[in-house]
Amino acid sequence: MTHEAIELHALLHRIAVRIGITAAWGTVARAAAAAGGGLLLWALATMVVPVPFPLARCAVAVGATLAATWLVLVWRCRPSASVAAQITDRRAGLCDRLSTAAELLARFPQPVGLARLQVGDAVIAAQGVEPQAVAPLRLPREAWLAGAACVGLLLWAHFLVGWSLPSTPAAKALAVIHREGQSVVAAGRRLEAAGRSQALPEAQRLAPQVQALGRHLEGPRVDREQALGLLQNVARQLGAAQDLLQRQLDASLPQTNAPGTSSRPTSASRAATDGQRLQRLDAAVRQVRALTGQLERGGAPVDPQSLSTQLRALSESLDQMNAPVSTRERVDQARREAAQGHLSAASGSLNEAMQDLQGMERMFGDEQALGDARQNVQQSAARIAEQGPLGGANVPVSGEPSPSAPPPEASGPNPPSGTTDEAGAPPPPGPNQGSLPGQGTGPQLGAATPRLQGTRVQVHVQGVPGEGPSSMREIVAPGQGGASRLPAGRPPAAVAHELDRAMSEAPLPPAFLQLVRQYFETQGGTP
Amino acid sequence: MTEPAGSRDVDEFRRTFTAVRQELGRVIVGHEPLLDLVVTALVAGGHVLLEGVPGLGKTLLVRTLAQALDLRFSRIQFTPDLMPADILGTNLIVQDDAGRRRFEFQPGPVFAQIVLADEINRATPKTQSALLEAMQEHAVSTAGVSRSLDEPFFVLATQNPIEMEGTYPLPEAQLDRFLFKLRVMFPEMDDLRTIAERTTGPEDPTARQVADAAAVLRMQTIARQVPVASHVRDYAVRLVLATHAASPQASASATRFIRYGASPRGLQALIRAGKVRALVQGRLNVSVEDIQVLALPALRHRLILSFEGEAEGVDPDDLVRKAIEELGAVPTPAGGA
Repeated sequence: MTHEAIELHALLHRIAVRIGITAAWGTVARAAAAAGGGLLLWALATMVVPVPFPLARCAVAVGATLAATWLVLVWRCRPSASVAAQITDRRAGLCDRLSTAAELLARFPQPVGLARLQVGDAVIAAQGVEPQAVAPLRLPREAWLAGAACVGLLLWAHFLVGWSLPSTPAAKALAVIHREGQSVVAAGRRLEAAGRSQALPEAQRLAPQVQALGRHLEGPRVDREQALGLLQNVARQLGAAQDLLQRQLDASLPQTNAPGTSSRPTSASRAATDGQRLQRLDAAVRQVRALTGQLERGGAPVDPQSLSTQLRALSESLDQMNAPVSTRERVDQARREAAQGHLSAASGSLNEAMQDLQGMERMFGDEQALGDARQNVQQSAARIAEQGPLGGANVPVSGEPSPSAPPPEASGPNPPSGTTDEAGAPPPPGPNQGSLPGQGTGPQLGAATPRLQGTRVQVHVQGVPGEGPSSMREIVAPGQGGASRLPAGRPPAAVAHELDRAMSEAPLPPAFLQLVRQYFETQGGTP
Repeated sequence: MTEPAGSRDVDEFRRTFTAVRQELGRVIVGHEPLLDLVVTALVAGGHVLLEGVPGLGKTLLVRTLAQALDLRFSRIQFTPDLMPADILGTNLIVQDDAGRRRFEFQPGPVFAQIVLADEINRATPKTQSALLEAMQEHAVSTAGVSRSLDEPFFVLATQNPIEMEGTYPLPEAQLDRFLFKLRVMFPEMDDLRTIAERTTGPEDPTARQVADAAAVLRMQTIARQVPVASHVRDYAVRLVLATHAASPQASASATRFIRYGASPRGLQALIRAGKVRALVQGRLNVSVEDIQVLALPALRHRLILSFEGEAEGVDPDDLVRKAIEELGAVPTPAGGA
């Protein structure tokens, strides 16, 4: 190929690429305008119907698609050298010099005679051609439409996202979110009250976040996907704190695995183990408290032999429940001190042991409070998610990101007894089934639970709101068991059998079943 | 095989063309496009039909061209009683010095290099057709003998568009032999002043010889070597097809007013004349613009109007212009504007 041909082809290649870019811009701009308009309509539709609209994901997907399309179109819309030469001839007024030369060079690599002269003439003419003048890179008119659609989307995301027109499905979905926001706020308050009354550090730390989430959900501008995302985030935080507490409890009270059982407990076995441990811990605390009271009472003489026997039994009990070494050492020390007649020292050691056990009890309480709050958050998320298809936001709302995890069970007197996957068809609705107040069809509620008897202290603050120091006191009433409405008695055999059958069908951990069964047997045995 | 032309040949071509054109301009006042097209037709190897009222310098143009090129010139005044032998020549009985008699061919006026067929439409079709072979084959057949004409052979025919009584319009086959049909328009006021000044003085202007037959033949050879791009050729083809009512490319006006469109000779005329014009314009390639500029003179006499076209007095020039308009400037390539 001659130098002239190389020079001419280089120019035509540059022009062809620019023409391809311009053509690709046109197509991509039209597509972008259509996509932007579609997204804008979609965004506006969310104000009417509760459809999910993942703006960021859509924007990224559309942008990536358009960029890939642009690259492909630049390659495919690039005209051939002959066509590029014709366009250049027309736009630069070269009277078909370049196109003729390009055709001659394609036909005769080494042209002779007038053909060679013509190629030379075309090359001279091409030297005055500026590719940017012949094929300017300018945005097509449709680009303004795409830009306008993008601006509209930005304005929607800034000012209108979360709004809904009244009396529309979207407004109803927003009402559900608001109602769940109130529920979450209430759960946060319960968590805060529990943390404050029982001195639960994690509950106190996370309660403000739960309340803030609830208040955010109560706000006027929140969409369903955002609400689900926030609920998922808070549920994850609660789950992480719960897991941390469980690990600490496992470290303090190691579980005694039966031989042949798995070293990684399932959630059901975990609950059963926790129940057993809590039961034993509670019993140990009561036992230590009784012994401490016995030692501190000081009125009646304490039989050292009996005390030593009780302390040994306590020590064995602590050994069985794998209590911390320090606790067991303190109990042993108390036993030795009691045997030596140092009752006050033994009482001090028992107090220290009891503080250890109470600390663990608080951890249990903390873990349970977090679990309750987490369950509330998950239930709220489930109720919000029930309002319609989730689309891209259909992610499990739980601290455990397991795709096969069952949905959180709705609270209420008639929880579902099994998953629909297992039964193949959903169970018939119960009389009180429903996730929202007023949805149930069961009998009227009974009388209100009698309020706890405590001393109510009213604090009257003088002055004008906003002035002076403010203080708040929290009155925690002493706990008291409520009296049953029916006198307790041993149930008939048929009823006991029916209850056993119903409980065996219930998806409850065996440890809990055992607890329930023991409770009712205890009740039945004390007329 | 034709020797490839070089840059020196191209320069010589342009110099000769310009010189001939200037000599014509020294004698002929005005009619600049007409003079360009006449010389273009000569170099392209075609013939020209001049249409205009008497007294506009048609004969002067032919004579001046012959003077500038030093070509043998003859003029044939076509009349109704003109016979083919009056044009082609005839065999005469001649007696030599020994007293023997023999037939000897006496060449007619067609045996020249530039022939002016004045008022060609006044002769009968029989006589008009005597020029057919000469114009197309550059040869004359009489008494079973074919005799070649000297090159270059250039016929310039004239006809009067006004005085049609007693005339025989040229048949389509005859018209198709002409490369161009040129209309000689009445001069403008300034041109008339110059004519009056130049032709009423003591000396009539005369043309100098600036080239000869060999130069003209060389120019014809060079012109044939000018390359034509395929899209330019396609444009000429589509333009010709646009004048055919039955063609898919036919323009709307062609469908309505044309009975028969331009012949393949029209396409050849466009390309050949386009090559000459490209060289004259300083280019070495034919452009679409060349085809468009030459479309009127090359195609206007090849269109046969339909009855509706004849009845409405449609001008073939308008039909060609509309065909050009409907074709657009250039075929739009994919991806282009």
